[in-house]
Amino acid sequence: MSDNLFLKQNSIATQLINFVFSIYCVIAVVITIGQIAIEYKHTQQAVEDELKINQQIFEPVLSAGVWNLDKEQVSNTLNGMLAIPIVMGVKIEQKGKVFTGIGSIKSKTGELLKFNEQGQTIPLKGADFTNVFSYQFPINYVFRGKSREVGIATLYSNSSVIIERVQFGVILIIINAIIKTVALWYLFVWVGNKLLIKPLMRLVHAIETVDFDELDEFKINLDNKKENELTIIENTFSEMLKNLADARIEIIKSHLLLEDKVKERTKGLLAAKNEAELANKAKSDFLSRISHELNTPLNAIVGGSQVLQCNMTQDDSDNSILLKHINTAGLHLSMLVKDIMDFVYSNKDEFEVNWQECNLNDIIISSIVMVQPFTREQNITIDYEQQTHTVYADPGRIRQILVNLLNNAIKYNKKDGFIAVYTSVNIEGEVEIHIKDSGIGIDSADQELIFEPFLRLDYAKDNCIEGIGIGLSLVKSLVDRMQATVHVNSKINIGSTFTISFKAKKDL
Amino acid sequence: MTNKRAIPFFISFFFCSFCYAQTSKNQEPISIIINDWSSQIVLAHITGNILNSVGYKTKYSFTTINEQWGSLSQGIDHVQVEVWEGTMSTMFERVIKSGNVLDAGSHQATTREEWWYPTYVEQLCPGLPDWRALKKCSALFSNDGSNTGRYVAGPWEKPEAARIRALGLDFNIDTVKKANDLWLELKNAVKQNKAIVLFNWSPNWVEAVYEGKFVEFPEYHIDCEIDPKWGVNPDFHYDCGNPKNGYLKKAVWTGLKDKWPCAFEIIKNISFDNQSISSLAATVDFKKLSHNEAAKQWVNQNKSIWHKWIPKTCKVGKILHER
Repeated sequence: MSDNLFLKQNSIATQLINFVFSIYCVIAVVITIGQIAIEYKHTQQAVEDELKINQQIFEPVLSAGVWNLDKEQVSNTLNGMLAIPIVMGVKIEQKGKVFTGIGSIKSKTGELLKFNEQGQTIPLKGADFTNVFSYQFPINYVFRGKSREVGIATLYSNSSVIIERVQFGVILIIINAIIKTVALWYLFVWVGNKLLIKPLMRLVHAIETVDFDELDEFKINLDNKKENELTIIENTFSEMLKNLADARIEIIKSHLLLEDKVKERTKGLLAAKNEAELANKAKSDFLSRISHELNTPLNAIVGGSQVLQCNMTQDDSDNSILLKHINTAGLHLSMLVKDIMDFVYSNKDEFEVNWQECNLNDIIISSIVMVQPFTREQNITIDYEQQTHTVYADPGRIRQILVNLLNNAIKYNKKDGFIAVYTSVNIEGEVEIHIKDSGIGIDSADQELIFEPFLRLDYAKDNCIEGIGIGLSLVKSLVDRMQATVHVNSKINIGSTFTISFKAKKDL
Repeated sequence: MTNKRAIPFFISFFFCSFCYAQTSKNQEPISIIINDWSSQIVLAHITGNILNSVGYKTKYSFTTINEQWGSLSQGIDHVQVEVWEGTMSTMFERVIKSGNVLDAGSHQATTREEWWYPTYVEQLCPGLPDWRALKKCSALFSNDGSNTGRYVAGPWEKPEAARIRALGLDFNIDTVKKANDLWLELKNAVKQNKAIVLFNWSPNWVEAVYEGKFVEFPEYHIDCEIDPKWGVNPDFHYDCGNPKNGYLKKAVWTGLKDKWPCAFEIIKNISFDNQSISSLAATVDFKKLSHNEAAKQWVNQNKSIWHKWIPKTCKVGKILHER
């Protein structure tokens, strides 16, 4: 079915016409049935009146026959009555008994009877008429100047007589109704088509074919000769399109203006970005250079102080202590420099990951051993339940990450606190390492900031905890390089748990 | 004291009221039909007098012979003392069959109703009384000089036209309004010695005063009335005469037998012969006595006859207790 046909068949006008016409049809059918019923009733009344007229015509003849009990004369009269088309039968009763009759009659019990040749009544089987009605009149005979009832005549007719009479009238009524209905239908369709369907179809077609690139030239012509709702729609829609065209021009202008501004802003941002990148590169280069420059004398200081310590005698105990401090400070400074160098290196493009299957158990044990010297001062215990998980990553970097996290867990732990290290596999199949401590915890507002470089929390500053704020930044950089993730779960004064999740080899 | 007197009074009043009611019921008159010929009227009065003599009330109701059957069937009238076979057999048999009227027996008299002529006409029209003679000399009976004869019919319905047609007679029917007109026509014709053929019957006073004969038509047979092939003309009914030696019966309303059983028995027993009937008719039509006078004369003079007609159970004074 084409769209036009579909629209035409389902349009409001068609629905309106169908609805109104359906109502009309129902009303027309009811009125026609009513007319037929009235016609039938009138005809029945006319038939009954005709039966009454028969009383005036036949009563004098009948009365003489019935008075003389002359069945032959009565039968002849009844034959004459039966010749009248509306009369189906006649019954003459005398003193409650049937005197004679003719044609089809009804008994007192309602049974249909027919007179045989001997004038006796016999049941009428398979009667071809129903709805029998009758007209009854007394037969009076004037004897010695006095009217005397000598019998009762009953004339029978039936609906078939009426139907026969009304059928022509009924046919005319039905033809009249059909002609009216068909004419009205065509009138409905014609008027509906002219006033509604065609203008609406034009409107729909116009709406469907609106060219937004040529709104200025677009016009709707519904060809309405009189002002009505459709002309209002036509004018309003045309006005709306005109406004739309103006608005569209404004939008295009605004778009062009905005585009220029975006280009300008993008240009400024690119310049700023370049500047920032240059500054960052300069910073990295500076840190790299300074670290490298610092590392050489620091190696000399640490190495020299260790040699001197080895050559020290017991008498030089004071110097020995001094050398020890020098050595310790040198080592600490060396580690700081190393961290800075690693952090800078980890953010460089040339950073390489040494991918291999790593036995986490060995790495964790070695990491714990490395930080154990720092646990004694705080009397902190490290618990580790050994498990045999492997991950595909860089074992050195994992160890570097674990040492950093363990150092933080020690530094921010309470005295006599504990650290728990354990591994697990999450529901996505990733191997996870958890470092849990009983430390001071991290405020939820700070949990997103702790991985920023050179950022130190107030607690660390207030309690003179050593560090320059690149430990967790380094951890984050290394974790990212190995396509792993790190996140923290912490509560103030209860402790923190850092979790590193390694992807399976197949997902890398 | 007052109460003691009132009780017998009320008992008497109640009893008398009951008696009156019974008497009123039994004193309903028996309606005897009278027609328009003398013998029938006189016989009706004789019957009335006899019934009166045993305590019945009677009344005489005039009706035509056509209407009398309806009045008898309806119980409006109760007794008809002359039922002539020739004129009334069809209707009589019909009402008997209906059960509304009872046959109360026959008189001794036999009857005939037919075309009749004075004897001198035989000289004018040779061949009479054979009906075929009428075919030859119909002009003789004409009243207007034409060849078509004139038949003077009585005021009673008879199939004369059918007979004239069936037998091929050239006659017109001139119907008189009453029986007396027949005798006036006869009297005038006899006076002028003119040919006349008229309706007459026997028994009748006429036969005692005028000499004459009935025309002999083909013998009556029931098939003559119902089968056109029967008789001399295969195309028409009634190509025959009226029955000869017909009966003269009495008819009563069916209810009379139960309502006035004694009267029914009396009527059954009443019987007149031809001579008596002719004589009674002549008393009225010729001697010019009234019907009632003629009846009373006969009753007074023939007590031995009519007393025999009264059953022993129907004695004067007992009749009121029959019902």
